[in-house]
Amino acid sequence: MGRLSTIISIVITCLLLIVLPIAILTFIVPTVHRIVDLDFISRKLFGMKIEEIVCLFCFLGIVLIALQIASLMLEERDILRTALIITTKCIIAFLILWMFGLGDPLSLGSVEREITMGRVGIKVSLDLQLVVILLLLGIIIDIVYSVVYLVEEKRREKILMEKGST
Amino acid sequence: MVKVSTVIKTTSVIIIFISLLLLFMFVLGFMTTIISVLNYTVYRGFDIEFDRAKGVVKIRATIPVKSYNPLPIRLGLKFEVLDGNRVIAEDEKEVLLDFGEEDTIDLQVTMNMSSVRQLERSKLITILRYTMLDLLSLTITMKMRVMIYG
Repeated sequence: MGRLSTIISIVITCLLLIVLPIAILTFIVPTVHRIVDLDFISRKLFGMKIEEIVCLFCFLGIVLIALQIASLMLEERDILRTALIITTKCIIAFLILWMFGLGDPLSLGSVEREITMGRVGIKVSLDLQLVVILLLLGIIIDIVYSVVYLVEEKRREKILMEKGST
Repeated sequence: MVKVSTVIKTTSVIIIFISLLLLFMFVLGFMTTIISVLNYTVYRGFDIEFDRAKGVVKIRATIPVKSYNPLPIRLGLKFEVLDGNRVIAEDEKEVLLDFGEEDTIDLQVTMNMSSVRQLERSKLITILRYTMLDLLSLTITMKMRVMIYG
C-alpha cells in the first residue's frame, strides 16, 4: 500500500511540477503574451520571469521524484527512507509557502502586490493564512506519522526478533 | 486496538482535505471577483451628470456582479475620486450574494461644480474586495487614471 501510494505520488508530481508547467509555457504563454506582458506581471507578482518559475518547478519536481524513487528502493523499516520522506514533505511545504506567498515564503499566504500598466493599475491583497497554516499543520502531522510508523515498525521487528530467539 | 500511527495519519488526511476544500472555495470566490472586475472593465465608462441648477456634478458607476461560490459571499465595492492622494469624494456599497445570484452595485458620488477643475486632473479608484465565512478575504484595487472632460 505504501509503495503504491508512492508510485501514484511520483506520477502526480511529474504531471503537476514538470508536464503542466512546460505545457503552459509552450502552449498558453505565447498566446497570452500577445495580449499582455506576462513577464512584467510575473516579475511584479513573483519577482521572477515565467521561464524562471517553470525552471524552479521542474527542478523541485525532479528532486521530489528522485527522493521518492530512492525511498521506494529502501526497506520500510529503514531510517534513511523515513529521512527521505521527511525531506520530500519539507520541500512540498516550501513549495506551498512559496506559491501562496507569491514568491515570498515568509509571508504565510498574506500578500499584497500592485501592478500598474499604463493608465490602469491593479492592487491585489490576498489573505490565505488559514489555508496555508492548515496545509502546514497537515504536513507536520504527516511527518510525525512517518516517525511514529518507523518507531512502531522497529518495535514490532524487535518483538519478532525476541520471539525468534526464545 | 487502533494503532497510534493510524490515528495520526487520519488526522493529517482530514486536515489536508479541509484546507484543500477551503482553497477550492477561495478559487471560486476569486473567479467571482475576476469576472466582476472584467465586467467592470467592460462597463468602464462612467456616467457623468452636470446639474447646473443645484451646482453639483454626479458621477455614477454601475457594476454587475455574479457569485460562482457555493458559500454566501460578501462583495464590497468602493469608488473613490482622488486629487493626488486626497479623497475628493467616495461611495461604498456591499452586497451579500448566494450561489449563482446576480446583482448590480450602483455607486454614485456627488461633488460641487467648483470641484470640476480638480476632477480634470483627478483619478478614479475602485476597490473591490470579498470575504467568505469571515475567514478568507481578497481585495482587488483597480486604479484607473481616467481623464474626465466636462
